[in-house]
Formats: sequence, structure tokens, C-alpha cells
Amino acid sequence: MFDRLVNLDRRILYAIIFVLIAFPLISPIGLPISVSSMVVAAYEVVDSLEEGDVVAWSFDYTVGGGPDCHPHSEAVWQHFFDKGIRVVAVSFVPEGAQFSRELVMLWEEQGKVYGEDMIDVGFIAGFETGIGEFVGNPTGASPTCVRGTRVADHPIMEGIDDVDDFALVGAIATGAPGPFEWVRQLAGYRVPYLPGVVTVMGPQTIPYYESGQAVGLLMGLRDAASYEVLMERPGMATAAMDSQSFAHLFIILLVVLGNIIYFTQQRREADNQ
Amino acid sequence: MKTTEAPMFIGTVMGIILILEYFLNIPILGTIGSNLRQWGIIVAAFALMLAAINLIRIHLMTLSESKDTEERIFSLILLAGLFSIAISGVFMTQESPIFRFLFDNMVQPLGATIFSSLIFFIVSASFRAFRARNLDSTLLLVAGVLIMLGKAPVGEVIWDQFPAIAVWIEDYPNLAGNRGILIGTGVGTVALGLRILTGLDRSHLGGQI
Repeated sequence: MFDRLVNLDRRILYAIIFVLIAFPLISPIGLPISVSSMVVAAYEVVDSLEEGDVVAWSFDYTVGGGPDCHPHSEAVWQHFFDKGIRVVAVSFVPEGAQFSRELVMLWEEQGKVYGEDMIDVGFIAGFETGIGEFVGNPTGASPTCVRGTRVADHPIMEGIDDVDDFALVGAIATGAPGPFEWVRQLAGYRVPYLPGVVTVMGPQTIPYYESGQAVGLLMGLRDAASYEVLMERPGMATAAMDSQSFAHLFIILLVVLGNIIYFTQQRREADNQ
Repeated sequence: MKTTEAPMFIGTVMGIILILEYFLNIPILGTIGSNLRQWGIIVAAFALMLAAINLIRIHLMTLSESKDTEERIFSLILLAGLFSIAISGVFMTQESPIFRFLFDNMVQPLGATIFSSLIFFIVSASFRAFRARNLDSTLLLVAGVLIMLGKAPVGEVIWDQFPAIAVWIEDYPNLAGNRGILIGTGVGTVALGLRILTGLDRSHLGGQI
């Protein structure tokens, strides 16, 4: 038994984890989801905005991190439009512009008007340089939106001269440019900054929340699910939480089992000597 | 070394202008700074195009010169993907059904699959490599397990204090460590910036550090 465990075929582990992730997605269990103070802070900042306010939302994530980050945008945009807040979408990562396009088209189908309720500035090259130009000159960093109209000509951009004219800046990132670049470029401006990051970037982003440079923080799929819980609108993120729970439990089980095997082997070797 | 003098001089002047613009509220500096950043955006866009051209060049060479059939097939697939995305995106706009089909049904699922397949390596590594061999690895292992239990909803079902423990680990040991790293990185960035502006570091121009 012990030797069989030591030499366990990794494909068996792969099959088990596949089933453990797939099963709760097909048939959700509905484990309770607690909400962290950082997500509550993010929710409250968005909830305190007033109808007609204009916010900037940056899609700085790649397709790889999309499943972990895009639910942030989906949940917060739902909150924005529930409250009648208008959104300027932008991206400083090439693939990010495709996620913004997807959300803009989705909300257009729901009756929101392009140019009045939202616009999509699209991808701006240059990473931090692009962010620097956008915060100082939101209508000039990219002269036209993705549909070819001058950004400054859209009604939503009326009165927007720099980033302080937005009620909030949200930026979801999987790497660079991310919170580090945004915090550097927003220094000197008063606009509240709400970052969202892929889970693995969470720990290194927390200092910005604790220092007050970020008004909230969304870390990975878990916090998107928490945001959905706060809105009382369960979505895909909430549905995926059961899968994450099972995967975490299985990994912990394997760590414990692997260490039992390791220490048993150590003891056996010591006894043999 | 002479060839690096002019780029270094231009870089130093531009850098000083942007630093002054950042700290001083002088309209003319703001205008110059904005123009410089727009140049930066344009140069970065060209750099992306240059990267695409380089990729095409390398894979065209592979197609014409390689004797490895498998390698040639992979290059052909890459070029087909690159051209179909580029042509549909540039000439039919990014909202065209063809571009959306390619992105939503190929690029996005492929990217997500590559990222998600990490779970299989994590599972294998957690069983075979994550060992409490010494104090450091034991601390890492215990912290990792507690964070996983604190972050996953099932942890709270097992014991309602797991989320509080995870928050404590994030807010104290993690915060302290990451603040140190951030401050160190900030000081290092300032030092490197000064070295580049003063010409002491020319490695970005191909010179000696």
C-alpha cells in the first residue's frame, strides 16, 4: 500500500483534480462565501457613487488571467449600471481591449447607449507611459475610440480634462502594467483608485490598500464571488467557488499525504542504518 | 562608445524634462511632457509591430529552411493564426464577427487553458515536492495551507476562524515583507534612474554597466 502510494501515477492525480473541479461546476453545492474587508471597501466606494458619475475602468489583463480577473469587471460593471454610473473603458494590455469590447457589446444589448453610458477607448500602447498620458489627458492619449469616433466628441467625455474628473479609477491587472504603475502615475491626483488583481498578485498589492493609496482591493475569482454576494447577484464567480474549495482541499490532502510518506521514508532509512 | 553619446544625451534631457514636469506645475513643461509621452505611445506601438515582423521573419525562415516537418507545421500554424487575427482585426475592425469568433473561441480558451493547466503541476508538486524539510519550508507549508483554507469557502465550513487566520497572515507577516520589498524597489529604482540620467549606467544602450 505504502509503496503504491509512493509510486502513484501522476495521471491518477490529474484525473481526480479534473473531476473535483468539473463536478461542482456542473452541480454547484453552494458553500457559504465570506467577504473580506477589502471587498466591502470596494463595494462601498462604488455604492457611494451617484447616478451620472463617470468612472474609468482599465482592462489590464491577458487571456491567461482572464478567468481570474474578468469576473471582477463583470461584477463591478453590473453594480455601475445598476446605479446609473457611466464608464470609460480603456486598456494598457493588448488583449485587455477584447475583454472591454465584450462587456461594452453585452451592455449595449442590455440597452446602454455607446458614447453616453459608456465608451471603449481601446488599447493604448506604452504600458506605464500610456497610463501616464491617460491620467493627464484622457481624451488625447488615444484620439479615437475603438469605433473610430474622436474620444473627446462623445457626450460621456464632456468635462473630463484629467483623471481627477472621474469619480473613480478601477484597473484590473494580471501583471505589468498593474497597481505599481497606476499608483505611481496617480500620485498627485485625488481620484479614488480601485485595483483588482489576479490572485497571485494579491499579497504584493495589499500594502497599497493598507496605506490608503487604493480604496479597496479585489483579489482573484474569490473576491469577484464576494462582490457578487454583496450585490446579491450570484454569477459565474460564485458558481466557481465550490470548485476552488474542492481543489484547495485536495491539494492540502496531497501535501499532508506527501509529508507523511516523506517522514515515514526518513524513519525507515534511519532504522535500516 | 562614441555612438552612445547622442542617445544618452537625448535620454538625459528628456528624462529631466519629465521629472521636472512631474514635480512642478509649469504649463509649458506639462505640454512638452504630454507630447513626449505621446511619442512614447507611438514608439511602443511601432515596437509591437516590429515584434510581429520579427516573429513572421523567424517563422518564414523556419518554413523555408527547416528539415524538421513538425517544426514547419508549428510555424505554419503560428503564421496562419497571426495573419488571420491581424487581417480580421485591422481590416474588419475588432467588432467584426470573424475577429470576435477567432478571439472568443480560440485565443481566449487557449490562453485560459494554458494558465489553468498549472493546476495539474501544482497537484503533482504538492504531492511530490512540498515537504517540511526544514524550518523555512515548514513555515511556508503551514502558511500556504492556512491561506488556502482561509481563502476557500470550505475552510470556513471546517472552522470559522480560518479566514481570520488567513487575513492575519496577509495583514502582518505578508504586509511587512512586501512593504520592505516595495520600499527597497523604490529606492533601487531612484538610484538606477539617477545612474541612467547621469550616464553612469549605459547598459540600455549596449554599453558597460
